[in-house]
Amino acid sequence: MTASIDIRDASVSYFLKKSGKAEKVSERGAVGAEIVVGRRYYEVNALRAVTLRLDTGSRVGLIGINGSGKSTLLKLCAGALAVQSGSIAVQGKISPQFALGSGIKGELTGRLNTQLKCLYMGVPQSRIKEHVEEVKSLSGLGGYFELPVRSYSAGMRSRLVMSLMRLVRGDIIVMDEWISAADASVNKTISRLQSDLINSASILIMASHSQRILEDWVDQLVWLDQGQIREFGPVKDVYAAYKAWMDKR
Amino acid sequence: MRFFQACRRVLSLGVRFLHISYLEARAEHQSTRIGVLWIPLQTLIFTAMLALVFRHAETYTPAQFFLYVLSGYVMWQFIQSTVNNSVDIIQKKLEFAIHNNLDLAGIFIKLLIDRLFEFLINLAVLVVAVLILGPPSGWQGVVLFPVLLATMMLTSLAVSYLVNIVTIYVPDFASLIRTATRFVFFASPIFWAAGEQTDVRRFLAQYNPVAHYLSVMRQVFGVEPVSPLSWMVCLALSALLVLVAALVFRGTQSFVRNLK
Repeated sequence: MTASIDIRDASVSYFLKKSGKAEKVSERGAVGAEIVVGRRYYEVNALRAVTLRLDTGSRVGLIGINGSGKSTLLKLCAGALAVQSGSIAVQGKISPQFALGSGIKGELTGRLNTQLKCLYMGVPQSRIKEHVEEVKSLSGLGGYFELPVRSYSAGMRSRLVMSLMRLVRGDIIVMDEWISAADASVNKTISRLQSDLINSASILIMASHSQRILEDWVDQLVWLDQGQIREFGPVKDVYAAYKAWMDKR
Repeated sequence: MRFFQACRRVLSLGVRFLHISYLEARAEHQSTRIGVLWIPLQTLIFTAMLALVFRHAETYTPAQFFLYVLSGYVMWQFIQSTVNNSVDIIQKKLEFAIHNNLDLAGIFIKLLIDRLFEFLINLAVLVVAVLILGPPSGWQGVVLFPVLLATMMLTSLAVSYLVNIVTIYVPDFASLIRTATRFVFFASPIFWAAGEQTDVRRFLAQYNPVAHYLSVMRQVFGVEPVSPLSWMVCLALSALLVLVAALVFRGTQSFVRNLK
């Protein structure tokens, strides 16, 4: 399956309804994108003129300080945000996971969430039962699979989410920083689920602050700073440059 | 051939989403003994109460008035859920939708199917009631059911998007809307007859658009005789709403996703 993400000169802003004193809002801090005070809205320029192309086989990590645009870029790829200028073209089915537990319902059991995920992701009706049992077995949740997800620990939740993503996957996996909750050192099951997940994706794009997670999971890094791509290249080189910059700050 | 393939695809998607609606509804009622059967039971209980309290002894027999109220109330529930459940879809449900392979239009279609699921359950109750009690005005209106369903689906989709957009731009509208739907419930001929001769009610039955949608529903199930005027009003109004919603969707679909 061929998958690709082609972002050209894309700028993305968030809009927030105006409230409070506008002059206080426009004050610049140590983190975050510039806030423009408009007539009716505050405009947060989260991404500015970003150009990036990812093809099948790409394993890309995003780094940058808080508010640098990592989550915005992930959400743009997933279709949760739109460009104000420029363009984005995505080929392939996207499986996003912005936060641990997004897209699943806490009040429902692991089994019911799995059934629903299968239906949403277009698994043929005849194969749903088999998929549900596979997710149960992959996740290793045992009896917890029959309990509401809200009763799970973060580790249990990540087992369920990764098993779901592994089995009912899209071509493109988009993950935000929640992955640290499923640190590979925690246990072998999660480590195996992680590597299965990476191997099964045509494109992986993820944000993380952890050097070890990035080195384990991706082979290229995009360093974002104030909504712009500052560097793009092999993990070691870009991370070293980022770390040096962070030390100087 | 392509047409049939497209129909098959749409039908398959519809069945898939109805299955989702069923699982979600079942989960919602999982702590109760009779589960999703509460949906038709609530409708029956409330209809019976309305029919008993507001009975029109001089114009309807008890059975006729029960059918009149039930048919109106089933339609009203669909209208009410379209309006009341659409105030914060983009703000609260888009991220869940994106995680489940749905885009902006997809989440509105999914929620439409949720509404249809409840409507179809209540419709089954109505059909059984009409079969048992007999349609007062005959069966000829039943052939219009596909037109009614298509009109309801398109109008509900359009109204849902428009309500959500208005609440995004005017947040106060969200608080107003529940009061407004409560008012429309009383101002529509659900448990009072459209043919009543008091000036206010006659005016409401004529100029309240909901009254026409209630009327066409009743016509399909033989509770009222078929009236071309009601159909024309409904079809014209629905066409207008769909057109406006399509234009608004085109103009806002990018911006609203970035509005926090």
